[in-house]
Amino acid sequence: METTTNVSRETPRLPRQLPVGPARWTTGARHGAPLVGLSLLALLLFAACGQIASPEGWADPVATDSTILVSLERGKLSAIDMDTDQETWRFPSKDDKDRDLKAIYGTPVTADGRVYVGGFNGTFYSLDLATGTVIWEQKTGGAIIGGPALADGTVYVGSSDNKLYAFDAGTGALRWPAFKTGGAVWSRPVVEDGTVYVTSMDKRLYALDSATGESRWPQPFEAQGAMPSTPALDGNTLYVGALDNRLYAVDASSGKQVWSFEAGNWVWCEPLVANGVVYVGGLDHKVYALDAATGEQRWPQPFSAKGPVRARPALAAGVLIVADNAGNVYGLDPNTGEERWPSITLDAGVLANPLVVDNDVFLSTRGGDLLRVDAEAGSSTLVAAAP
Amino acid sequence: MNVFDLVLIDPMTNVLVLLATVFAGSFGIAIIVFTFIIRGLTFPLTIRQIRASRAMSAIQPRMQEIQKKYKDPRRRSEETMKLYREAGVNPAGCLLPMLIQFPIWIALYQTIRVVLGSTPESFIGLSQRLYPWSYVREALPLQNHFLWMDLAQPDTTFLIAILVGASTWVQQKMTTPRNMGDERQQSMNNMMLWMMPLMFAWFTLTVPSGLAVYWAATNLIGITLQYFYMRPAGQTWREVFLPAPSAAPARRPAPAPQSQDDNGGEAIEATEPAALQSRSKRRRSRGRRRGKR
Repeated sequence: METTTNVSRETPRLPRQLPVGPARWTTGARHGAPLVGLSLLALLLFAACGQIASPEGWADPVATDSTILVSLERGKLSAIDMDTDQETWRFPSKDDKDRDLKAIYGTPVTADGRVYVGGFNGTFYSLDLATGTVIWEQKTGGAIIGGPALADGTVYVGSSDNKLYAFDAGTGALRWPAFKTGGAVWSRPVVEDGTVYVTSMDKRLYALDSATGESRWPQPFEAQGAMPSTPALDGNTLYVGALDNRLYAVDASSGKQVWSFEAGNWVWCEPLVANGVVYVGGLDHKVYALDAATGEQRWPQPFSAKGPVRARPALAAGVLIVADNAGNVYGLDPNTGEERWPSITLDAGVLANPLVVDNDVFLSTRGGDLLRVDAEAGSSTLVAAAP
Repeated sequence: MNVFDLVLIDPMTNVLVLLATVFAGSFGIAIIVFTFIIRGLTFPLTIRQIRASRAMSAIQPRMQEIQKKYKDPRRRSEETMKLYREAGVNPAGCLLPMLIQFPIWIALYQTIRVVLGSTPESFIGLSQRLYPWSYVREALPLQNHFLWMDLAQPDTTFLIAILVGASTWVQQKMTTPRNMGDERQQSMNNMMLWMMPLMFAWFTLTVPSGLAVYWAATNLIGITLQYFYMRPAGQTWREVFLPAPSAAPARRPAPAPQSQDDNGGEAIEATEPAALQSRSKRRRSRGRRRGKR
């Protein structure tokens, strides 16, 4: 059978020797394969290196008599003198190459000349408040996201290894075997009258005996969604948000639900309870004012922020200060939710809870700046810039 | 929010979370199933791209010949285009399906990164992408533990890095032309054959292992597709791992039905891919019909 090709006279004589054997896996064009491979690699590199998240930290600033403790640089805690605005020490120091906290999320606690702080590296530290040197340190099995709580010489801290630890504040020894929950503990425990309240990503809120670690309630309170937020205790009621978009009011004695309020997105914000009103921000860009007893909305409508609100609202000089993750600070009338002054725009968003000192509110931004906001005037000044 | 997020990443994020809930919250299984689904949906494009690439590969020797013979760029271009027409090859046929798939791959990659929520900040970012379905919202956080890995952390056992590196090598080996008759090209191919797997293995050690699971899954799916759909008849696994034959023509393959046309051109050898052969046959028969007229 004769087969011919339709090739013109000018067509060069085609090579007799095509690749040996059948076309072997020749799915890439000769010049195309390496180029396409390199392009794909470059794109993946871009996607990987440019987008993989690394922990930033959102530790709240903490004030002592004359010092503010704040994380200005990722994974480092700075002590700023309030009179001079100068840094007195930094932990870990430049010379300390052995310690890498990666990031600091939990609000440090100070007592008896010591600072207690946990790192994303899973290690919990006790530092000298005057110098920032390490007194003791304890390793946990996961990242520490929530801050510690201190009561009666015991410091309580949760970890992403699903456990709540109770360390002796003086020595760092475990007071009781770590309490195991069903999920990571990302919140700060609340200690009151011999009971430790702590939430977990297993959707539960636990009440434990602070001396023994035994459960106080017959059953832990269970929400529909994970609970990364720190509860607020007011009187005998705990107010806590969850990733089922709800804010719950829970009876602290029994662990029974009193009421719940549904927002438009996760409620990760630690609520502020003042004058019978619960103020809470949502990741739905809203700020709600709810009646502490009934959960009914107090404002005609929730305040609409420009970004998700994770930082706890703060009351200073009769103004409700709210900061969002888009970098806006608002001064609201706590009774009506109306703006008292035009919002302040920052260079970076705010996820850390604010610190109130008299009429001033200190905000730590995601960019690492520490700002002072005059709650009455609605003005801001930079206290310390990110290094 | 940009269109890329709205059209690709957000829907894929929600589907991935839904899948995880279906599979008892296991993020690892969700990644693998999701990779299967996406590869399945883009399968027609993959096939088109692979076929076009094979056809391009098959005419490379003749392209070389043209480049050697014609120094005038215009003439060379004309002859190249003529060859494309003759072989029924469209150079854009290789690139277009790949270009269409690229955004999907990147979105898949980004989706896994987003859903991993390896830091509290990324978890907050995830909340802005979820649809207001309680089934999705209440499912988080997902179980990050899969087999021996914490999917949000790099794997320290090297096992997944070895799997990613090995599967990348096999896939690279399968898609690299084995004998192009050009030593420079061959050495470049050899370099890529080893560099890519090593680089991916190294990335695996530095990124959350959830992404490594995706790389391994997509490589294994790619290898399977290559083997079962694009494999030349009779090709065995053993031949994949054999060293490439020498660039110099070693021996002539078994003679195939061929003849020279009356213009002195040579018929396309029977060693060409079936698709190219059939296209060539169609053209030949059309040529004969035109000749008769």
